[in-house]
Amino acid sequence: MIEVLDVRKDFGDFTALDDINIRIKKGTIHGIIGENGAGKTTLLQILAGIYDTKEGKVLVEGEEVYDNNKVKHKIGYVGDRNQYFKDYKIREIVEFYSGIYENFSKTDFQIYNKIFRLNLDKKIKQLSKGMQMRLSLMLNLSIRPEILILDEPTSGLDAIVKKDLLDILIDQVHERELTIVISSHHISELEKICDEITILNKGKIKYQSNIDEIKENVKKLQVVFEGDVEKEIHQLENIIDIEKIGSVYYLVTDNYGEVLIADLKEIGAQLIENIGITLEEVFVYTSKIKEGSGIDE
Amino acid sequence: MFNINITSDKPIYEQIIDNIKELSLKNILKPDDKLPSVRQMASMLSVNPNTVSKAYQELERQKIIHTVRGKGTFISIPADYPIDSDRIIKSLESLRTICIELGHLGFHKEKIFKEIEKIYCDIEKEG
Repeated sequence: MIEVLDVRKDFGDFTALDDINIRIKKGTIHGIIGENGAGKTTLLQILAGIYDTKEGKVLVEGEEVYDNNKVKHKIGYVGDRNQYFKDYKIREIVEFYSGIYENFSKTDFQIYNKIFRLNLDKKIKQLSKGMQMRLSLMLNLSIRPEILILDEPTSGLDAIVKKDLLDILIDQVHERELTIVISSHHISELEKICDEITILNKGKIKYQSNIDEIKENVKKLQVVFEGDVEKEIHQLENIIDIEKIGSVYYLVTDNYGEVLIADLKEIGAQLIENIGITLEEVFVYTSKIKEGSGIDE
Repeated sequence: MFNINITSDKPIYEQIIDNIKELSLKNILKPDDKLPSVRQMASMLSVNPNTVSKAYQELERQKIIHTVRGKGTFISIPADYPIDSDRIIKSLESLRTICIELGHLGFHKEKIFKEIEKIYCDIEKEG
């Protein structure tokens, strides 16, 4: 179990994260979504124990992560940019890792390298972005972590390796109860593999839920009304987006249920049809409303 | 086997349940056929293994599949299903809702019957 409790992080005058509370159960996959600059990387780095927090704390199985080697041994961190010693050969960086991490398995590394295929005699500076990502993934899987933190792991990877990586992650979650925290801009990827997701917006949590719940609560509806409802419709509660094409309204709600249906029928809805929504759309719509309300504040 | 539709408002585990039910009704999955393991299924669909486990548990609870220790998960023989009155009531309720909804959309009884016949034709043809 990872517990993020009331975390706040400032860089000078800039508040990168504020009032962050997340609980991540062992053996689950937790996705972090947010716009550029929303604080995803900072959050992941705090989880990995790279930064101290100004307020609040991060606990792994009840112990604080920051400055705690015992806990950090159990955590693998794959950053979006990896800064290894540029003049090291891969062979040397593997030695370096196995000297630092007590659980590092060279056998595992060799098995992973059958999939990721890196030439061990190449120097880090000779590797492309995707190749560096492969290396970082292999190293951090080989330490047999209990928690794996992945910041945009699929960016720079080709489709074939991406699928291989997903398979490895699925394997590890299923067999060793690995816990994964992953951020990505490829929301459709996250939608399929995550148990829960957190949507960050300007350093704060805007939405947090398991994916099934999101699918139950957030819906896109196609609604046809009798007569003109232009006024009434904007007064309805729990509607986060309204579009109108011809005489058909497309409504997005974040609290779908009998109450909403009754409200719609009361103002003259003739046909209410559920047209399905992807997590990506949920993200876009929820970010939109927060911006709107931000202006009012 | 089948694909997961992320546009659907049905949760992924329900999609897995429904797809396996459909494949078994169409006799593409026959009694005693072995299902992929949780890990294999998760990899095939690129979904979270916990989601597949959840679907398998529910299918097992509904006696549509069963697990033999050390051997795997298999499709059960339909005659073995005990009658689950809860599910019957639920299904009949949704049928009623659908009939009413279709009625509002201008479908009279005969037209609905025709559609049902079409569905059965499809199921039998594919099976």
